[in-house]
Formats: sequence, structure tokens, C-alpha cells
Amino acid sequence: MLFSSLTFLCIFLPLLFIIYFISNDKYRNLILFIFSLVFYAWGEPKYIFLMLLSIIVNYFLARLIDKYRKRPKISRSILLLATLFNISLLVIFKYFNFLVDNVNALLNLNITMRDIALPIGISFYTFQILSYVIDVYRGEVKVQKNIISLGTYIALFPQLIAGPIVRYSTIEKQLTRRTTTLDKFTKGIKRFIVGLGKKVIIANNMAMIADTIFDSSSVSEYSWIIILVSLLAYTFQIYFDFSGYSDMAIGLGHMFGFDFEENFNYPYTSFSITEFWRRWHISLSTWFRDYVYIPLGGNRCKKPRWLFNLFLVWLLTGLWHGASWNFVLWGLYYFVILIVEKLFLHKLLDKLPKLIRYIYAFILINIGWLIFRVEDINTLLTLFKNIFTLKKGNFYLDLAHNYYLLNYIPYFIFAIMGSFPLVKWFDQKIKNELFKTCLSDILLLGILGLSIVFLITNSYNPFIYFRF
Amino acid sequence: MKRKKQKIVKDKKLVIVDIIFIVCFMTILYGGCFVTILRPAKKASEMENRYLTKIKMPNIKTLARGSFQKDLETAMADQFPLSQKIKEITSKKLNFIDYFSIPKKVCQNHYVYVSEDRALASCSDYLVELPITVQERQENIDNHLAYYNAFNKLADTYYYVIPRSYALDVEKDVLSFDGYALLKKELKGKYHLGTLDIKNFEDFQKYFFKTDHHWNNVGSYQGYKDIMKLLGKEKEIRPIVDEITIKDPSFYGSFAKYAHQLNRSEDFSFYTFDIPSYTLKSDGFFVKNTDVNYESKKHKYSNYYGEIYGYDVAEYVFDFNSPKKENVMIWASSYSNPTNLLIASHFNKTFVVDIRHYEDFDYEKYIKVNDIDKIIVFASPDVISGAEFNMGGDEDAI
Repeated sequence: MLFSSLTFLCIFLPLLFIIYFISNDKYRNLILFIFSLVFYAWGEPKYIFLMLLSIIVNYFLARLIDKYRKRPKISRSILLLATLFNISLLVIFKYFNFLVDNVNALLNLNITMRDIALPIGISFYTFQILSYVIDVYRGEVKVQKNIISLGTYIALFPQLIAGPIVRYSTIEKQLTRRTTTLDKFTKGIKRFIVGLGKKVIIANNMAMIADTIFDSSSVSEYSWIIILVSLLAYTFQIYFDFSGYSDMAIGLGHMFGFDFEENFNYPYTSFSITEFWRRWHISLSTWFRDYVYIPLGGNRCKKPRWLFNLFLVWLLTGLWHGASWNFVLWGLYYFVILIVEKLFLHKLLDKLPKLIRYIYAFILINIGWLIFRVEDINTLLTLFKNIFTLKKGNFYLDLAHNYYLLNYIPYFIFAIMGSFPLVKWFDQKIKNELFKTCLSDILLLGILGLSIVFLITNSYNPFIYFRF
Repeated sequence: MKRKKQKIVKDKKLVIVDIIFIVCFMTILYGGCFVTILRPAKKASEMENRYLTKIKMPNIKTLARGSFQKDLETAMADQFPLSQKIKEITSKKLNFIDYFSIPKKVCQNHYVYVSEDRALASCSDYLVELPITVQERQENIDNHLAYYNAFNKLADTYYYVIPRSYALDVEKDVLSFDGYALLKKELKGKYHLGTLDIKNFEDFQKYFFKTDHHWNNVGSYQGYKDIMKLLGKEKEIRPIVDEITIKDPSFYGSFAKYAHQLNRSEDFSFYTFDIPSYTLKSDGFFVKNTDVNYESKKHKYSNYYGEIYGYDVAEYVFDFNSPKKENVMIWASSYSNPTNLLIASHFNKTFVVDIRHYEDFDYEKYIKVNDIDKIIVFASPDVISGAEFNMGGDEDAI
């Protein structure tokens, strides 16, 4: 189920509110767990069993790790088993065909590929489960003895399918005791509406432009300017789509008494790529930092080893996003830039005016998104060629899309405004709390109304991060 | 102490504002939910010219397949309070930039709209499709030519080319898809070939609607006369008895609806004729004789073209009970609908076949069984080159 759907807004959520808030505290996890399963099963009923299997297996393995805590060899073996189990699920359901395809190409074999649909959100919930099991092994969190509570953590619908990747440690206490105050509930609604507006009003409209061009069979016939504008649209789409989803998740979390970590911090205001990755998909970056980079030795080792650690992290980051070579390329692209920045460019950038640094970062981010968006490497190369040689396009295609794009100017303006912390700025400027609250409430209700209008009139509603 | 008291009063106001906000949020959610589910479901949308999805009871099969979930979302959007009004308003108002002009040879004002997967140009006050070429449709053309040439061997065949808007390159003001030249070059055997005389945009404007992809009453009557000349029945051409124009509500053509250009509509005119009595079967069933009672059907977004000339079905059979006259088969699309009856009135039986809707059509058998003497092909670019007009084609064509 999508947050940005009428089914969720007008059936699922109202029903959950009623049942959740009239129930006794001790049943609330169970209610959230059941509703989360329904939420997940809504889109792909068959994969609910995969997630349940994952919950059950990890529940018992984590308990075994805890049981054999004083026998490190055994607990370590169980951790290895748990890791293998979780990674195997990812490999089977996400990377199997990619691996087979490449083995076939490399060894000239003809192994049959399997018709497997990617289970929604598998990358997110697998990483959450892994963090839980590893943290139990490390002794950083207590093992969860109540399977419903563990199930609630893993399946919790606000963050189940598109993050943020919530660590068990973040909500460990809230799983057993949490309160929903009026203030927190209101805050949650407001955050949810902000996310809904980002997704429905901005991201979906940006998607109309980006997908029309990038999904076109004649994408390479467009002129450089059309490709560039479409790329810009995609840059905004992916940010407002993903951060909108995170906002909705955080907002829903508040409504039900949870506090999730922030996942974005205005990434398009960055002055370097290093800064960008501190602001973009924070829960993923920190996950890789804590569970891959640091265990490998981080930067407290010799330079070649440090380079290898970074290389591996970025290779995995790319692969995490999808089973395709363009994602690998995308990960390695950032590996190279980050290495260059860390080795010498950072010092040079610091001496440059802010505007130059901003342009530098924004251009590189956009190039990154082009690699990310175009899966076919040949098409990708053609598009780069078209952009850098300022290629003229097919007259009719360009004409049509020039005028098509004009209708989207307002959404570009919203997107640009939304990429900067203007709301924070206004918040600081306006001192009268009552006026500020009333004004923001009216605006938010307007955004909610407009989002519903868009949901009614516009069935084009893809969530990009579902496939990860 | 005084300051602290003031702060408490202020906080209370904020709490009240928060409560009002929550109530508003819940009202929208629960209001949307209850009204959508509890009020009687709307059956159809006049504006979108389609049946609306209703909320159905789920069962294990539909739940497992996911069809219930999809239908529920569509039904929520279709049945949501004021959803049709919302769609109407947004169609009119949400095109932020409606008109942009760039100098062109053909039209001084040339505008373009694109929906999700298709582009339309607006030339003067006409909405037209962007041009196609023979080359890009070659595969389908070869497929179609194969059975056209088979027709030529089976019966006396008449091809009438209708250059609908995407046969015309409004930028260069020439035909981009010259169906007449194509058929003249490629058809083999004995055949007759004619065309609606359109060479440029000026010609086009005489014969086509401004907001719809079909030809208007002038175009279709011209087509009827041209076909009668091809058939050698020029003297039998039926004169126009009357012209009726519907102004209120005016006609929103397919392009206007498709491109969300509901600020565009036009008058709809049609001719009446003296036609002898006949019987009509539609897909095998007798249907009532067709003095169109458009008054009873009209609504704001009426599809007059369909309501007045008839909708596309697999087969119409007109029977004028004149055994001495010949039988004819019309290879049809929606373009033939205005002329079917007129042409049929000159023959004994007329079989109108729309290949898009006729499953497993065996033309050799059909021509033999129905004792068909002549075949008339309404050769619009889609009939000549569209995948939907392949034998056993799909039904997605417009």
C-alpha cells in the first residue's frame, strides 16, 4: 500500500486510529503488527510469508546469540548464520537474475533466469533485521523476547517499505513503553502532510517529465537541453519522493509514539559531495558506516586498506540500490569523487567562493542521478554525449516537450523552494507563535486538500524507492 | 509571575489551535471515507465518457491477485466526494500555461500539448496530432497490404484514403503520410482508389473537427460523394435534407478531453437525409431503426459523434431488402460510421466490419458466405498502418 493513496488515507489510517487509540496499551504492538502486515500484504500478498519467515528465523537466532553470549565461538557462528540467511534472501530475491545474467555472459553459459518479482522493501527490512541481530551480538541492545514486539519493529508500516532504516536501538524502549501526546500527534500529522505534499504535488509531477523522457524509446533523439531539464526534474523527483516518504514515515511514527531518526537534511544545499552524503539518506550511510566501514577498520589503517574499505562500502551502496551495472557504476562514481575530495580537493574547494562550490556539488550530484536513472550503459553514454556535444534533437519531440515542460514551471519553482530550508528561515523570522501556528495549519490543510485533488485526478503515482 | 501566567494563556490558545487542526485533518480523512463508502455509487462519468469503478466486496481470489486492491483505489478516486467536479475544474484550470505562440509558416500560432504518452499540436484553434511517417509504420503496412491485395482478388475493391490529422505535417504544411501515393504504389490487381482531397492544413480545416480526431459532417459527406463517384453511382448521390447544429451543450471532442483542454469545445453539426426503410443488425442482434434522438442523450460532455453516427462494433449489417442490388462489405473504422447508412442505402445488404472488434475474422470465408460483390476500405492512416487494425488486432484504437 502507498501512503499517497486514497485507500491508505481514507480507509487504512482512519481504521487504525480508531482501533489503536481505543485499545489498551498492551495490545497496541499487536495491533500495529497486524496492520503492518495488512499494509505490506496489500501490494504483494505472497511475500508476506517471506517477511514472516525472516522475523521468525531472526527472532530465534538472536535469542540463541543471547543464550550463548558467554561462548563467543558459538554466538559468533550463529551471527554468521543469521547474516548468511539474511544476505541469502537478498541475493535470491534481488540479485539472482543479475548474477545469472553476468555468469552467462562471462562463461558463455545458458543458465535459466527465474521469474522472481522483487519483494517490496526487502532491502530496507533486511538491513533493519541485520542491525538488530548484530547489535544483540555486540551487546548494544537487549534481545527481544516478545516475538510480537520484534515483529512490530521489523514490519512497522511507517518505515517498512522505503525507510528510513530504523535501528532497533532507536526504538527499543518505545516498543515497550511509548506515549502519544497531543503535541506529538499534531507534530506527526503536520510532518505527514509535508511528506504527502512533497510526494504527490512535487515528486509525481517531476516524474511526469523525467519518466516521459527517460522511459521513451527515443530518449537519445532529444536535444541536450531537454535531457538536461529532464535530469533536473529527476533530481528533484528522487529527492522529494524519497524525503517525502521519510517525512511521512517520521510523521506516522510520531502519531503512534515513535521517534525515528532524520533521513535527509537539505542535501541539495551541499557544497561538496562529502557534505551531500552527510545529508542524503542518512540512515543508509550511517548503517554502512557502523556495520561495514568501521568493522573493516575504517580509516584507522594503512592507506591502501582504507581505500579498499571505502571502495567496498561504495560498491555495496551502489548494489544495495539495485541489481544492475549502472548502480555499481553509480556507487563507484561516488567512491572516486569522495576519494579525490578527501585526498586534496576539499582543501582546494574550501578556498573557493560558496557559489562555485555549490555549483560544483550540484553538477556532480546531477551527473550521479543520470547514471542512477539510465540502466542501459549504451543509452547512458549516448546521453552524456548528447549533453556534452550540445546535440540538437528531433524537431517534433523537442517542440512537444518544450511546451510540455512549460506547464511544469510552477512545480519546478516549488521544488527549488523546497530544496532550501526556507520554512526554517520563516520559522525564525516570525515571532508570534499563535500566528505562525495558524498560518502553517492553514497551509498544511491546503496541501492536504491539494494532494487529495492530485490523487483523484492523477493516477500516475510511482514510488521510486520501493524497488530498493 | 505575571509573565508566566501570560505564557500559560498563550499555550492554551496553541492547544486549541492544535485541536482544531486535528479535527480538520480527521474530518477530511473520515469524511472522505464515510461519504465515499456510504453514499450511493455513481455509475458513469459523462466527462470522461466511461463507467466509474464501484467499491466491490473482496474475495480470496481477488485479494490474492491484487485486483481488489487496485479496484478499490480506482473506486476511491472515482467515488470520492466531488471527484468528477474536481477533475472538471483541474482539467480547465491546471494547465498553467495554456497558450504559447511561436512563428510558423502554416499557422501564426502553433501550440503543443503533451499528455503522458502523446503529443498534440494546436494550430490556429484546431488540436491536431503530431505527424507520423510511412517508414515508422512499415511493418504494419506490409501486413495490411497483404490482405488488401487478397481482397482485390476476391471482390471488386474500393479504397478511399482519409488523411486524418497525423497524416499531415502542419509544420511543413504537407502530407507526411501520403496514403494515396502509398496504396497506388503498393496495391496489386484490380482496384479503385480515391482520396479525401487534403494537401495542406487549409484543406484539413474544412473537413475535420477542431477538438476531435474525426471528420466533420462536411468531410464525411464529401467522402460519401467521392466514394459514390468511385463506385460509378454519381447520379444516385443523396442530397442533404437538413443540417442540424447542436450548440448547447457544445461538443468536447476526443482531443479536448484527452489533452485536458476543457476550455475548448465547438458546435456539432450533422446532416439528415431521406433514406428508404431498412433493418439493422448490430453484432448479430436487430437494433431499432436509427432516427437519432440526440435530445434524449445529450449532456454536458456528450460524445455526439458516437451517439449520432453509432459506436464502433464488430459488425453492422444493413439490409435494404433489394435483392437485385449488390452486397457490399465496408472495411470500417469510426471514420466510416457517418457514411455507413448512406452507402448502404444504395445496396442490398451492407456488411460493416471493424477488424479491431471482430475476433478470428476469416475474410475469405466471410466474403464467400455473404456473397459480397464489392469491398469498400476506409483507408485512414490507422486502418492502413495501425497495429490495432492487424488481423485479430486489439481494441485500443480511437
